[in-house]
Amino acid sequence: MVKQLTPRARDAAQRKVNRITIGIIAASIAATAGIGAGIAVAAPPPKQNNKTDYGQKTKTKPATKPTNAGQAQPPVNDKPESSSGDETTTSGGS
Amino acid sequence: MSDVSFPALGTTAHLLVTEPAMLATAEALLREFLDDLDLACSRFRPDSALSTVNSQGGGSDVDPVLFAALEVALQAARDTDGLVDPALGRCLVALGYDRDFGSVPKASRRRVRPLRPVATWREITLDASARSVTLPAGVQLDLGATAKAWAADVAAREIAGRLDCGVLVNLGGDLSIAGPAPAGGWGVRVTADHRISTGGQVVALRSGGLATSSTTARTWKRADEVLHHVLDPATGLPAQRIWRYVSVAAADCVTANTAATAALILGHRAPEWLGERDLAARLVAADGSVTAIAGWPHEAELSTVEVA
Repeated sequence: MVKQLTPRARDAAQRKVNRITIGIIAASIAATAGIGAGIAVAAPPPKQNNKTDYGQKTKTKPATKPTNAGQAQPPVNDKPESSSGDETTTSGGS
Repeated sequence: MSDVSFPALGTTAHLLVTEPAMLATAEALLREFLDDLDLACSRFRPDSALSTVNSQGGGSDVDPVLFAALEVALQAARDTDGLVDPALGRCLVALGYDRDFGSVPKASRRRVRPLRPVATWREITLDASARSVTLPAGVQLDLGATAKAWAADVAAREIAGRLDCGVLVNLGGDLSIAGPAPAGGWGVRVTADHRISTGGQVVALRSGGLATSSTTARTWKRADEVLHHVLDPATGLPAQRIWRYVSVAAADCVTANTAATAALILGHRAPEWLGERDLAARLVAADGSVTAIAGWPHEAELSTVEVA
């Protein structure tokens, strides 16, 4: 017999599904989302197995990121610009 | 535009959205995620997944959020050739940073006994298939250099994607942008301490991430030594104070924060290192002089020396 959820319980369940954390786990985001790959003058060689050897030397990274279809996209401008306005937030040591 | 601030991860979370109607939902998503992150990655909670790994020297089937954060931390170590190393947890504890920073005594007559690192990130092994981690003997992890920045990247992207609006997530000065920026960009003041709203420089950002690492914001004193939390992996000691603080803008916040931390450790070699990587950066030296690198905009003000 299927138990009917109360509206409150249903909302709670929906919220749980919507949690960012659940999204991270489902997407295995650390491996696929291109996190933090912008520093190295080098990029890792292809993995040979599930074990990750983090000590390996790296190779030159591409200047542009490939799309899913393998085509290069123009780089996004993430350089800061001059501003004469007020700040909306602050970046400082924490 | 609309915003909200609240305490999280031992610092302040500041969330901004371009659509005011989306703020409450965005805040709920961010709060839940940061709660999960804290439970996974806090070095100071005995019930965290990280504390379990640190006390047991590793583990299998570890918390997936912790595992993802570890992969990011080790990638940062690899990208910086070990300048940013998550294997320094025990060194931080030896220096007195053994609890949430707000509870660390800011002054004591007791002299600290520093620990030299006994191993590096290279000896840490991860196995994705078993979601296992193995630490070298004597190593405890600290994810302070990457976890907040990674969380800002993940949260900004996820919230913008779900709510279809522009988002800026700022976790104690590590900030990430996703979705459409407001007209004129997001105005960000870079300064030595994220709680200070004067001095420094205001810049506009439209995408990516920006982070600031500082040798002056998170300090404490033992005997006659002023210590800070950015450790040189070569010594296990706080990095030399060549720079008061370094701000870096990059394609994402993890990249920006990793580079800013590496720059503090590199000292005089930092401008060249950042320039080679085309990372826009603003470095403020101990004497207050300012160096702009790789496209960082010049100061609008006449002065290029900051008063402490």
